[in-house]
Amino acid sequence: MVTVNGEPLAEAAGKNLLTFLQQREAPIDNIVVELNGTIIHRPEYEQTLIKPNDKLELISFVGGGR
Amino acid sequence: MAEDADLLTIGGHTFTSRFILGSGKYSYDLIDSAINQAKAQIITMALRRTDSAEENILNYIPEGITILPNTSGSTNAEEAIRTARLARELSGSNFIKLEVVPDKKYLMPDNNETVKATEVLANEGFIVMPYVLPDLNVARQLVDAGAATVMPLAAPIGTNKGLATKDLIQILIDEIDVPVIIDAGIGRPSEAAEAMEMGADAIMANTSMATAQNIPLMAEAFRLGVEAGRKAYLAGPGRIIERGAVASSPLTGLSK
Repeated sequence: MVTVNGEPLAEAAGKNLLTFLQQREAPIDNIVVELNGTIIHRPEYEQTLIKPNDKLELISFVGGGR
Repeated sequence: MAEDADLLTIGGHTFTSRFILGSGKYSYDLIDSAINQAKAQIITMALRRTDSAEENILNYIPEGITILPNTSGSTNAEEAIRTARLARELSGSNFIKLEVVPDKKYLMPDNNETVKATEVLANEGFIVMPYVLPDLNVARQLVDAGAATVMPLAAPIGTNKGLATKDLIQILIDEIDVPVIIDAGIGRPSEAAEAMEMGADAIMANTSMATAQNIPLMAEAFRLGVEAGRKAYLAGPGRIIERGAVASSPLTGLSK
């Protein structure tokens, strides 16, 4: 099953990354996406299809440090 | 002006401020005033899984402030390298504050893994600012590996205990040619001033302000401490007489 930030999310499979992020209302300009350990660059979102066992990580900046 | 010439240079980038802020443990609403009062030009922040409900911290950072992503949460070199690459994708800059902390109780950095990660990241063009226990041999290895700075801890993270490692930090200041930035444990502006008097190149602080009653006011106090310490270092502190005393007024011409 697809996992997104560690949570199972079967319905993500089959969508392209851009559609998935838009439907999730993710802050696209302020996140970095890692698919199975590889960073996906923004221009590649639309052509990247989410497959059934993909592991997706959506990462952003938060306050922290010391 | 002479003051303008006193620049902090990190990886070819120059800064007039020698006070680096953290962004943890306080409201994003206070970041702007903390930066202003601190006159900080660099602020560090962490990376975490995106929670869509959370506000984006970048919206709270004023224009022109250098974002220094950190690898907090990494427990070995491999994790830190991954986090650094994600950070570069997000920030668009090569700055990385390298933190490799496997120990959960004391938050002690792993110096060996930090050296390994520094070597890889420096080779990839990162401006690596590693957080370490102050150890001269490790600091030399970091410089050889391409570190842009060395960031020794003064005391364990978040403790506000001050310059517990003072003597070891002084050795780094004396022997290491890249900037030595004191990175954790500084709890009071007086301690920041003391570290700067010792010749530290900059101070990084977060908890000492985040846990203060008035965060912007404490940011200002720290800025003044850092500036005072820096000026004292540049001025060259006066000597100490171990025994006896030396009068500062003339010993002749006394009216009796």
